[in-house]
Amino acid sequence: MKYVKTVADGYILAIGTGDAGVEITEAEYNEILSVIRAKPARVGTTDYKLREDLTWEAFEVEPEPDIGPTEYDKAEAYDIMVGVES
Amino acid sequence: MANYVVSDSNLTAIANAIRTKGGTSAQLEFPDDFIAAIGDIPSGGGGLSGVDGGTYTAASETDTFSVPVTALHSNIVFIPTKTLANMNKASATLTFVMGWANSAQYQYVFNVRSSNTNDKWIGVNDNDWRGQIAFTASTISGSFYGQGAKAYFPAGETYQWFAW
Repeated sequence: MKYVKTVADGYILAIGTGDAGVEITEAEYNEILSVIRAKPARVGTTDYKLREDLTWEAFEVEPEPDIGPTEYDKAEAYDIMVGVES
Repeated sequence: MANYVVSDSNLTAIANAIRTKGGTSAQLEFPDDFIAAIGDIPSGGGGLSGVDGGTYTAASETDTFSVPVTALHSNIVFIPTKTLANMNKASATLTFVMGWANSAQYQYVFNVRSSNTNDKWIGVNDNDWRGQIAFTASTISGSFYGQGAKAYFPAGETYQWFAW
């Protein structure tokens, strides 16, 4: 098991543990984790993403899509769970 | 140092055994590649074979994810490592998700969440609506939607994940 991070376009998307991925040291993992948990709070549509240098960059969040609920009866839900295609 | 004669069929058999155990299809040249491939075989430790797992912590709130894996899988589950605060319908926090590749066309997302209003629901993906999960030999990536809102990974919350 190793400490890993996922990076894209100069931003850290996530950290974690696993057997694959870009390996980092435990110290680096803990440092990034502490920065993540001190993330600035989202205000309105302004949120923040983490640069590789561990600084936060503000960006505007896209509006959330209006997705209506889908209801299933028990039989439909069971078929979906076991992988029966409709 | 003594020299030995070894048949190519025996070398092939050894290489095949190394490839099978190491989960690779690479051509191996004796002896250097054999040595390297054996060294790359994950050490045992009582874990399940054919299973990838680890933890995942998003740096920013996100409805997409990507985790690196060591092999091609067809199922993944995320479980929060601690009880998450209840959320209202305006923003649904991912509490449990299981996704699997049902066929070449569809990747299903089965998502269960309970809120403080006891409003349990199930959201299911149908190929181009509510998100998809893509399984490759090196990563599993995907996105999620919830009932009436976008389901997401909160920043800084750690999830345990397993893929098989």
